Amino acid sequence: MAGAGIKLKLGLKAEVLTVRALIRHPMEVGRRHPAGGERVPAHFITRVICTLDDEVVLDADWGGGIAKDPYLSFEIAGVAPGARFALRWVDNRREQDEISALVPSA
Amino acid sequence: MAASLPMASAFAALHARPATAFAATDTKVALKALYGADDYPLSAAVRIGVASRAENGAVVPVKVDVDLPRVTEIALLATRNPVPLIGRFVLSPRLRPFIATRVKLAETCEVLAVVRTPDGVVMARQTVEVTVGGCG
Repeated sequence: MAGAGIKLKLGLKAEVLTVRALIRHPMEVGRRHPAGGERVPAHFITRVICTLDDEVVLDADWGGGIAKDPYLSFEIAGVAPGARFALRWVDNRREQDEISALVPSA
Repeated sequence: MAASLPMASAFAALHARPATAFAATDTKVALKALYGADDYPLSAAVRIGVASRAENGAVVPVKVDVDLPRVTEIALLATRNPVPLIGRFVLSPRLRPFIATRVKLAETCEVLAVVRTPDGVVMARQTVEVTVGGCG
């Protein structure tokens, strides 16, 4: 199911929307050799795009230096309740996921 | 849950990934690939919130808060990671100049927050002592 691996918290205060997102993802950098094992192939999110009513508000390029199960928080000004926020990611294997939610009342 | 959005086209319509900067294994090379010079003036207006000691380099909370107008980009780098560039965040004018995330630090290093505005590029740095490295 879309968005099942993303936890999203939206908080609105004085027209400032605070976004907190937690994404389940291995963020495997591709250089790790477990003892006695083969190198673990790279598998990390490369792009995160956040929109508010389809307008891009944050567009991020990531490398393997973002920690496993990435956390991302930021604040958007001038937001009204009922706007639709969406977060999408894509990784180096072209896997992707997205979540969206309506901005709650302040 | 909204209907699935046309992600591929939405991604393609935006900026290109800074692939050369992500391929760099040296901080100065990464900076030059990102913004054209290998060093930038330090600014007290750029504040990095990160602990000066990290027990576990695999998960290090970092936040960047900027007291400058019209911030368009924030980039995070770790000087001793095999790939110094951690992430580049492009902000719309509606975003407050603030980002919080968690990064990997391979060993004791400096974390750099590089900030772009129409007036130029400035940065801040913070040394983090890492006890157990996090394969950055």
